[in-house]
Amino acid sequence: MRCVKMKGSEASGKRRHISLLSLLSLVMLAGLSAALAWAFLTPGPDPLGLAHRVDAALAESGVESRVTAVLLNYRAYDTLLECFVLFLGVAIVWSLQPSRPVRQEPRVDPVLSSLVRLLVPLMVLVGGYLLWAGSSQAGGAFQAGAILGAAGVLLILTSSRLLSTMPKGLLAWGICLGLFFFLAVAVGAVALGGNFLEYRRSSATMIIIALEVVAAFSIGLSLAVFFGGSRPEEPSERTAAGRPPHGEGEEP
Amino acid sequence: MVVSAFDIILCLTLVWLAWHVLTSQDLFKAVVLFISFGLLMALSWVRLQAPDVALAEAAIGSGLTGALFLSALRRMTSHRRGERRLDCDEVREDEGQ
Repeated sequence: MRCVKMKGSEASGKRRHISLLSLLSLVMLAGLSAALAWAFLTPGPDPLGLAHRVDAALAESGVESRVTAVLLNYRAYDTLLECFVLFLGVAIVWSLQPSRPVRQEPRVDPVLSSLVRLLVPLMVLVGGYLLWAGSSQAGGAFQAGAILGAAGVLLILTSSRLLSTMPKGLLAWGICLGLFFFLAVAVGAVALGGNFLEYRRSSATMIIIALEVVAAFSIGLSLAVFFGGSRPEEPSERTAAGRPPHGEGEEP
Repeated sequence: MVVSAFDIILCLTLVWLAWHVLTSQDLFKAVVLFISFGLLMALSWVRLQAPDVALAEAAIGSGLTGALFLSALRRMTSHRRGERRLDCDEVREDEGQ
């Protein structure tokens, strides 16, 4: 609002300010590029990094893929924290006020709905494949979850009421499931006498696959919920059109 | 030789796209450019032999973020239809006259 009313002189002053800023950012960008080029061109003390140590312990990790071994075995703690981040994201999104749906009338594009009908089963299949492939090659829980989340976004696009028709408890539990399972595995390892998140060699493969399946499900659900926006309203709570049922301005 | 030429073109295109995403006046165009930036970024992750990151970038960085941006854009434009939406740190040439 303020900038619409801005006078010409103020605008030109603002423009000069912006050009100064962009010059500064160009200089910083050039410096960053030079530093990166220097880091890339000068070989470090150990160009292989931790790769050989990862390879050496791969037989004990329970999976054949190095990336999955790092993500879900060696550095499973980081992945656990990532699940926490997603959970926090959903909590923040759900604490926002529900926004008015853009289209009031339920008008569904026939092209969109037939495309979704074709694509969603395929995406679920691809997600499952990525999950399965994750133990030996590229893929894994996060990638599979992203594909599932994209499928969820397509479903939300066809019916904006999709999330609110789902039972809210089920939705919340589905989102928490990955995190809770991860925590249970971590604490269970301590209870069985190991370290936090330490798997037994004999059961490592099973644990990692179970973790990946559950985490992919929760990640997909969380990403789809991000797209859905605010916390979905219960069908019974749906009152007059556009009035937020949880809003602060609600009259008694 | 062909491969390194491809890499150089990829790098230059990425920088060019990033510049246009930031400077584009039309928000819709910026979002579309952002999505194509994400896809090319995924391609460069493949060139760096990191297919896992490439998959995540293509699905999340490009697909889901692009969808979120498009949805936000639709909400913004439908909220104040007929009124041009300006970010406060960018002023157009024809403004204020």
